[in-house]
Amino acid sequence: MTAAAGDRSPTRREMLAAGAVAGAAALAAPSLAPAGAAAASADGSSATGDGALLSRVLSMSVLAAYVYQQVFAEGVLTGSERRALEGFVEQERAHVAALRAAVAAAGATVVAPPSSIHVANQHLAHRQISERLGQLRGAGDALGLLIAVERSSIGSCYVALRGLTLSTAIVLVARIMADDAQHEALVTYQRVTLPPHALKFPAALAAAAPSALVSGSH
Amino acid sequence: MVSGQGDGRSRRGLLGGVVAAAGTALLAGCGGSSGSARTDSTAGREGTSGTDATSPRDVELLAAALELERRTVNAYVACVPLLSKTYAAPAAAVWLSEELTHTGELIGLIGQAGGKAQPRANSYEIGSMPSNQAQTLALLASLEQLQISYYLKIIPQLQLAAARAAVGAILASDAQHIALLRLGQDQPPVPSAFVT
Repeated sequence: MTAAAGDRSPTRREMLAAGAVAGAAALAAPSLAPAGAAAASADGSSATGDGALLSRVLSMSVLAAYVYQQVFAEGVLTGSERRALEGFVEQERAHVAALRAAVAAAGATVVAPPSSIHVANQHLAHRQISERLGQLRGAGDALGLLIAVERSSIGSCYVALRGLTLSTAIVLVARIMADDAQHEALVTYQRVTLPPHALKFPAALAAAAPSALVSGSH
Repeated sequence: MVSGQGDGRSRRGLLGGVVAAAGTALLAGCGGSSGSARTDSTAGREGTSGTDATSPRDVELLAAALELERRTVNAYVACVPLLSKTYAAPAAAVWLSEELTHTGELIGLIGQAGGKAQPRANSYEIGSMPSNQAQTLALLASLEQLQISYYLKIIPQLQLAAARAAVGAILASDAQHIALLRLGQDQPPVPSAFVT
């Protein structure tokens, strides 16, 4: 089931999606109308504030894309796990592309990817994620790292949604948050099939999305 | 219409069990990460807000969301007994309890925005009852998709910051449900980088 689900070639589709969303963000940004959440203006937020919030979401998204790439490069995942998750690397890159466009349009600083595994590990530690790239002892560690990273990504979006004022930025972040939540569920599904849980299909499906309010780590 | 099914007695028993299980899950705190899981039984009460901010527009938008969630709850209640216990039924029971938590959360948000949630209807239209497992999963996925589309439509219109964030958390949960429903149908569970 999971193997079949992973049998797809998302690269072209995801790259096109990334281009479309990033393009839309760039095009829309100069004339971005304040969201109906003009209430946010009442708390002192502004377009500048949106840029800072989007930068924070981007910094986590950049880290997530880097971590996925390195986890795949470390070769600790089995074939079926790789097939189940392989599309997520391109999807994380698509998030980065769209967020970079939105951040640039908002006039804020575009965050670069980590320059090394050491730097990425410092970022993980800063976000209180315990697993480290280069030290993964097996699929359990790798999947645990990916779950923690997805939760941190979701949390960055959740926090941003409280302060963003621009409609396009709010929708972009909400769409990314929901996608990362899907990643979290699918990685969790893979994780709970491993020891010590070793759940089979129906129980693993039931354990993959244990929270009704998915707000991540923040 | 859920309430119009012919095999009322046996179905009622099954549904009672499902709802009881969902209620137990909620009471056990399995329903959410906010630590403030509410239930639909709080409908009609005024919410308490930590701020003085209210928004009639938010009340209107959230009230429509509540009706969508209630319809989905009814669909899960009707559909869980149709799913195999060795296939998707255990997961669907968990998702039902999460949908119930969503209704409680929305009721709380409506109260915080200065409104009052309407009591739930006696029944909700969910179309023809599915006749097999594939149709059942497809029906549930279609209702989750309707919710996702609605949340993405309203989230930039919500005026209260707390409501935007909470709706984002509900949206993310529904996005997980639809991904896992797709997995149960042997479909690509996460077909796009941007949930729509």
